[in-house]
Amino acid sequence: MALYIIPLFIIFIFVYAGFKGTDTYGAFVKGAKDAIALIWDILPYIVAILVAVKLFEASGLLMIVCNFVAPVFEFLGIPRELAHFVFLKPFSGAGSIALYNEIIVLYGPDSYISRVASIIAGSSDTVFYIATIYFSKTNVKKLGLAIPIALFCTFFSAVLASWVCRIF
Amino acid sequence: MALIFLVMMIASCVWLLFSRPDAILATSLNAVQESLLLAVTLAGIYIFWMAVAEIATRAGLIDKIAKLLKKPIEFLFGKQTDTVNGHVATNIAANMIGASGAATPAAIAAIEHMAKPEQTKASPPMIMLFILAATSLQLIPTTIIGILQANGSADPARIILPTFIVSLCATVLGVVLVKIFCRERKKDDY
Repeated sequence: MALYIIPLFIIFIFVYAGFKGTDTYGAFVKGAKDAIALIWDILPYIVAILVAVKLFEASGLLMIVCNFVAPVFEFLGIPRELAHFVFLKPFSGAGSIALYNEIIVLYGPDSYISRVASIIAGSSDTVFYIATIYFSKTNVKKLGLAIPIALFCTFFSAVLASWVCRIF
Repeated sequence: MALIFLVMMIASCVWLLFSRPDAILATSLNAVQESLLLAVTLAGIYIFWMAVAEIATRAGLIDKIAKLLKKPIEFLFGKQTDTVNGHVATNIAANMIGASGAATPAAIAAIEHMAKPEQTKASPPMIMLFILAATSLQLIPTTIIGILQANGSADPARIILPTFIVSLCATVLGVVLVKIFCRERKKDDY
C-alpha cells in the first residue's frame, strides 16, 4: 500500500497539470533551477557544520556531552545514539540533514534508530533558522513565547517519535 | 549558530591537540569531502521534488489546497485579509509535502502583510504561523524518503504514517499552547 503512495502522487500531479494545460516542461525546468540554486546556497553551511561535528566527534567531546544528557533522554525514551541529533536539530537545517544522513549510513536505513531519526527529521523544522528568516522583512524583534513553545513542541515530537517507532 | 560553531571548533581542536594532533586536518578534510557527497545526494532529491512542486503550483493545486484550508485558517488566525490567507495557506500546503523551498517565501510574505510598520512585538497570528512551520504537519516527507531510498531502505514509504501521526500531535500541542499563552489584547477585537 505505502509502496504506491509516492508513484500515485507523482502521476496525479502530472495528469492534473496535463488537464489544466500547464506548461509542465517549463515548470519542471524552473523548479530544477531553483533547487540547484538552493543546494548551492546551503552547501557552505553543510560543510561548516560537518567539519565542526566531525571534529567534535573525533575529539571525544561528543561522547562526553552525550553521556551527560543521555540518561535524561533515555528516561524519556529517546535512544542515546540520537542525543546529538536532537540537540542540533533546532539550530541548523543543513547540519541536521547532514547528521541525519550519517545516522542512516551508520545504523542502516531500516533500523529502529534510523526510523526514529527519520521521523524527527521529517516532523519538525529548524526553529532558530525560521525564527530569523520568517520575520526578516519586518521590524518584529520580540517573539514572546514563540521560541520556547516551538522548542517544547519539537522536543515533544522527538519523545513521541521514539515511542511510536516501537509500535510501527 | 555562530557562537555554537566557534565553541565547538575551539573546544574540539584544543582537545585534539593534546590527544591526536594529526587528526585535526585529516578529520576536517574528510568532513568536507563527505559534505560534497551529501550535497550530490541532496541535489538529486531537491531537484526532482522542487521540479514536481513547481508543476503542482502552476497547475493550481496549491491554490486548491489553500481553498480547502480556508476554514481551519480562519479558526487558527482569526479574520485576515485575502492576501494573508493565501500566503498562509501556501505555506501550510507546501510544508505538508516537505517543500520548504516553497513554504519559506510564502511565510515571509504573510508575516510582512500582518505586521504594522512600527510593530516590534510578534502578534498571536504571527506566532501561530511560526509554530505551525516549526511543528510542520507532514503528509509526505519527500526529502526523508529520498534519503532513505538513496541508502537502500527496503520500504522508504513506511515512514509516512508514523511521521504524520507524530507531526499531527506536535502541531495540535503547538496550537493549544499558542491559544492558551499568546492572546491578543481585548481592545483590538472591535
